[in-house]
Amino acid sequence: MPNKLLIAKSGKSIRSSILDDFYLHSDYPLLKVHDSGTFTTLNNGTKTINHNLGYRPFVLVFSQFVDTDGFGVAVLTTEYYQHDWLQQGATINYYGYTKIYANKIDIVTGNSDVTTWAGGTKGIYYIFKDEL
Amino acid sequence: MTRVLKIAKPGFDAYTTGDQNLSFSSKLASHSVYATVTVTKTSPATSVTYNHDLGYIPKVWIFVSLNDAGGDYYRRIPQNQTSDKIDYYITTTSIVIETDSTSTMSFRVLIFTRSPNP
Repeated sequence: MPNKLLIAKSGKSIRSSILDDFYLHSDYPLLKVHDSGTFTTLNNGTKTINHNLGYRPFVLVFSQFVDTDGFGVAVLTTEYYQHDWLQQGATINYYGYTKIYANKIDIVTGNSDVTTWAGGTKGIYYIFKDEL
Repeated sequence: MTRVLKIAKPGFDAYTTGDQNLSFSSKLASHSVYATVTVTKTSPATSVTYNHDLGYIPKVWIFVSLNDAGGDYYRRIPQNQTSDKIDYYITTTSIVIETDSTSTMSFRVLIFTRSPNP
C-alpha cells in the first residue's frame, strides 16, 4: 500500500473518505513553482522563456492590457489580465496569448495597428513543475 | 485551543514568522489538484461536456491542445482570437466547452480541490 500524508481538519477522522475533511491530502498534489518572473514583450512579437522541463507544464501568465484611446491609438494600461486578451476594431487588432511547449513558453503579443505602444507589454509568469 | 500545522520556508521560524513566509499552514486555504483529464470534442460538434459530478462548482483551468512548426503546445482558454473562439462554463456537475469551430479539438482540463475553508 503506498504511503500517504494526510492532515485532517479538527474533529474529522484521518480515515475519512471525504476530501473536504482534509487540509492536506498527498493524493491531491499542490502546484509546485518551477520558475517565475517578470517580462517585457515586444509590442508585436514573441518573448520566449525556456523552462527545459521536457514536458508541457502548468503555466500562468498575466500582462498589461492594451486598450485604445477611442481614436484607434493604442494605450498601455496598468491593468494586468490573463495573457489571453483581444482588442479588435475596424482598424485595430491587439492580442496576447501564451504557447506552452515541452521546453519553453512563447508569450505572444500582436499588434496590427499602424500605431504602436512604446516599450512593449510588461507581465508576470509562473511555470509550475506539474505536467499538464 | 485550535491546533495549527505550519511549515515554514527555509530560514524562517514557523512560530513567529508571517504567513507569507510559510510553505503550508492549515489556517490558510489552499487548492490541490483534484484531477487532470483530457476532453475531446469530435467533429462536427461545437461543444463538449465533461461530467465531474462534484456537487459544487470547482475552480478549473482549461487548455486547448494545438501544434505548429515548434511542436505540440497548449494554450489556455478562453480565447477570443478571430475564427477560433473557445469558451467554457462550469456547473455543479459538469464543464461545458464551447467553440465556433466544428473541427475535432482536444483539451486538458485541470480541476482543483475545493478550498478547505478552515
